[in-house]
Amino acid sequence: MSMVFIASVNGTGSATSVTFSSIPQTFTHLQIRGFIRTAYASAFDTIYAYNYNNNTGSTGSAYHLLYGDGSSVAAGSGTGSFSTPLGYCPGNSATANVYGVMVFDILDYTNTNKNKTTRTLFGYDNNGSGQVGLTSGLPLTLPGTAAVTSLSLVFNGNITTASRFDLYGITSSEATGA
Amino acid sequence: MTIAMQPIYTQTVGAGGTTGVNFLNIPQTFTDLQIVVSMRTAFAANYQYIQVFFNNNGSNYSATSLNGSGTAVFTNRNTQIEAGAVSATATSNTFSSVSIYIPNYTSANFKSYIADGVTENNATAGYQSLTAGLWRDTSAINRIDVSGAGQTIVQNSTVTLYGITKG
Repeated sequence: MSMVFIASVNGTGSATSVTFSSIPQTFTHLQIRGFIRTAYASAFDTIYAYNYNNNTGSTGSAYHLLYGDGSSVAAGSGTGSFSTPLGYCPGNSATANVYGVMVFDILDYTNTNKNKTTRTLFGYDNNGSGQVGLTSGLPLTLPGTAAVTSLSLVFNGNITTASRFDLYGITSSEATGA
Repeated sequence: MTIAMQPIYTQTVGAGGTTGVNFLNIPQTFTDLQIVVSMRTAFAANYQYIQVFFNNNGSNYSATSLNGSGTAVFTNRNTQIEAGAVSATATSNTFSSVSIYIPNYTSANFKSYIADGVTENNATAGYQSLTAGLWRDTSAINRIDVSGAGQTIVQNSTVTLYGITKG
């Protein structure tokens, strides 16, 4: 089977992060699918990837953003970042019951010949405002070229209890002859 | 139990590189196809687009893309996937991350695809692209060629073809 569910984590309402630890090393790619809202005192919050392989220091990341808000488009970038911004999700002052969506991929997460590049599609519509975008990250301190064994998603506000993050493993080895 | 997404084959580029990877005799038994690309080329730039051809046919392609460069947003029309491969002047050991979704690949309609790709680089310049592509041909897709558009694809690049089954 190609895409296998590994774990799911819900927000608790009292924590600003969720962590996937002891990630199995038996797949080719990882994907996290998120349904997200936080209590951050703003219309939106920022989604960060951090704590790769239990590194609590800077990720030394490069990142690049492409996004639009319904009226304009923007690009952004940074280097030497403490954590990697993946996109945006609704915060406390967003319309009630509005949640953001995120699909976050790390290809070849156990391949020690490669730095780990992240690719994230994110978006939410807030009935009159909203954001959608594609982002990438390059956390060079850890994991760098090391296999990814754990990671956290971090926000500015507490993650609401209806928020959910599902981790999947994707294989690439089931050849059928093409 | 239905397996919704199944790897058909993975091409891993070995020492010396290659100019392209090919998937031949693609099974006609799936509903959709998906290609996942992790690629770096020897091109003397920090990124390179990739070219996807179907059925060994290099004609009748077009694409519309929305792209970010780290400082600017641009949209264009061409025949490639803009942020397809990291290239030689970008951060070493860094490869692209690209997903290409091709629905209804056996249908008698023109073939549409959508792709999202990123080419990271530890510098201001790094690229993201969203691409909607079209092959104006009604043939079922039985072969896919993925290239670095004339550039050498370097070792450890991977391209995996998946079949997706509905229902």
